[in-house]
Amino acid sequence: MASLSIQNVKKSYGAIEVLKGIDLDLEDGEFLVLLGPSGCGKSTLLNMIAGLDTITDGEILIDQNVVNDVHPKDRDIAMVFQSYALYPNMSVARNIGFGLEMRKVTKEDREKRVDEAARMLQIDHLSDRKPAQLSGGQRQRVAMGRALVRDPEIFLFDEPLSNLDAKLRVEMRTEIKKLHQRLGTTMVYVTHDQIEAMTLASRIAILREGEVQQFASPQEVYEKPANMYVAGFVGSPPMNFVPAAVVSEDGKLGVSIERTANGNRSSVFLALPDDRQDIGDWVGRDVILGIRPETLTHRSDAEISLNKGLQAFDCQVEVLEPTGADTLTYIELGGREVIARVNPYNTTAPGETMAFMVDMGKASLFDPKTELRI
Amino acid sequence: MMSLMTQKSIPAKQPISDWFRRNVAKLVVAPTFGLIIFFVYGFIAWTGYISFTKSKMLPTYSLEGFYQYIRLWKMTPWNVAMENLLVFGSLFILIAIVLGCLLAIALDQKVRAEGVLRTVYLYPMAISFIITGTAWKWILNPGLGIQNLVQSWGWESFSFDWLINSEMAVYTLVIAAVWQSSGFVMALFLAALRGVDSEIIKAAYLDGASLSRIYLVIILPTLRPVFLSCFFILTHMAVKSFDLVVALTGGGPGYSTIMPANFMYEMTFRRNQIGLGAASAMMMLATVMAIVIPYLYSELREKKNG
Repeated sequence: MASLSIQNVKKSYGAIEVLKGIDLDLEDGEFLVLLGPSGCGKSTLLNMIAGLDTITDGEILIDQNVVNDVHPKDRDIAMVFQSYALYPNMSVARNIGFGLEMRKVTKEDREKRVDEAARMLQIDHLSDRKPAQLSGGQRQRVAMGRALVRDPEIFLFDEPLSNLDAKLRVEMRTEIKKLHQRLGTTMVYVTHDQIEAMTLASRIAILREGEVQQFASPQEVYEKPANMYVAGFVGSPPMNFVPAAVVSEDGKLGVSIERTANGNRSSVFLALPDDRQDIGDWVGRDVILGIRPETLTHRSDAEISLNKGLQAFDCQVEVLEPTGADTLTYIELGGREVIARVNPYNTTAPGETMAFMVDMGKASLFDPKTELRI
Repeated sequence: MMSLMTQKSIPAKQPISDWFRRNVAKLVVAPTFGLIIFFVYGFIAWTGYISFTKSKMLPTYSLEGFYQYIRLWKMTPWNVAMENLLVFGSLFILIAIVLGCLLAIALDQKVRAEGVLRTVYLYPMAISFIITGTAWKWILNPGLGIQNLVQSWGWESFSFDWLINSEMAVYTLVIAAVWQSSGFVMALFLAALRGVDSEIIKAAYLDGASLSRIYLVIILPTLRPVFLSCFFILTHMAVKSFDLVVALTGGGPGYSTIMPANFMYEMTFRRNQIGLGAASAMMMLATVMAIVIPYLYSELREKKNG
């Protein structure tokens, strides 16, 4: 177990800057997920932590020791690769034990530890097989066993689940989560799948074009995205973005949005809760209102009386997409298509007007120019 | 109505077009197949038959049993030729594979100008053995080549006369053949090395294996099929080597560097001993078979298992 600190780390290939100064601090036992689309530099950063790639500028510290020039094998880290990277000519047991073999661990000790790791991952019955004789999920387990048996300070995962089918991916995700809970080791996990990031991470770092967009807990990333990019990347269906104007009505600040109801186009005023009354400078200016689909649903007066953040309005329904638990209801707000999550028994036929409510306490406001959170 | 009409018209045409469609592949292959049966297997059978006769200048067809084979194995030149094949073949195959493999590993380290180097190493393969033989004859000639050059630099006692030394001349064949073929072996290995998943190498690094260890323990064992391919390509090159001997040593000094193929040519076409030549040709065939059949057997068995 160890802390990990990445300080102003940069990487460039010739004139191309892949990482533009990354700062991340990780405490002992945390689960960091590096999330971003392909080409954002997340795998490069992971390789640099592992020592497989050189660092152009900045420092990486493991347990307060700078490891920039430490050989990968001496960093006490283990890595699980996307392609599993098993040694094809070796049996499962030897694959798992190879790292120990190279570190001159005695044969009895090695066999004991390999056996332990294999049993923990439920692959002890496969010890004599070659990687080619295993299924994708089994190979994944062997790759994890190889990392596990070394008992390293830090585990690194490079998109380990992306080659598995959907069902197995969910299963292995839980498995990794359990592993982290049991071992309590610091882990760094690279993925482009926001659901994996949300479920696994204790903290997420969202990367875009070599820069950290936000570094926070999954809940904070979800509820208070630092900018529109993060807001759009995390969550499915993604956050709705509605062009709005900040206005003051009856002494309260709120946003005014254009929409169609009962055949008429008009503006509706949605008041912001008391703790968001600090945006006086923005009165009369345009903003982007970010609403998660589940905070926008059918009107319920009982709930409105309990939660002061809820604001009601009418709007014409355009398309319905039933998903079973909820029906995704498409409406138009401020000229943009917006998705609301509505209980299937409260929907209205397309073309008709329905009463909605939105939780403004959970809404985000963004500056349309900088796309940053206000 | 339409469907009825089309249904009726098809059965009338079906037999011919269907037969053609089913057999078009066979029809296309038939001529080459026939030619191979006749010219390759037919002539092997004919040679086999002749080797059991006392044919001299012209073939005769009365069987004489193993007369030619007994005669063949009593001849010193044939025994020398088989011995040369063993020495030349094993050294040539071993050195070409080791050298080609090392070159491929060296080139695989992201060397700059790799494209140029690869072409440089591969080019000898584009040259015929006759040219290779002639060039190396000049290089190894004591009066013209290396020995003369080094002596002219001032090392007067230097001697490198393998080409005219009947004990050592067979090794000059190895030098020339290795020079010609190791680039080709390198190309095969390089292609296979490029197919190795780079994440495996990274994983081995993290596991603490050194570079030499990674190649020896992890990468080379996965290249077994390439080793086998190289071995069989080089083996058949060794067994049928004829032109290199003709160009480089002419079988000399004396008959010290003669190879089975040269012996066969000499007997059949120069000394009017067709029966003896046929017997030596059958012995060469047996040599190739002894190597190829186990290979085919293991390959086919593996396919059945897989």
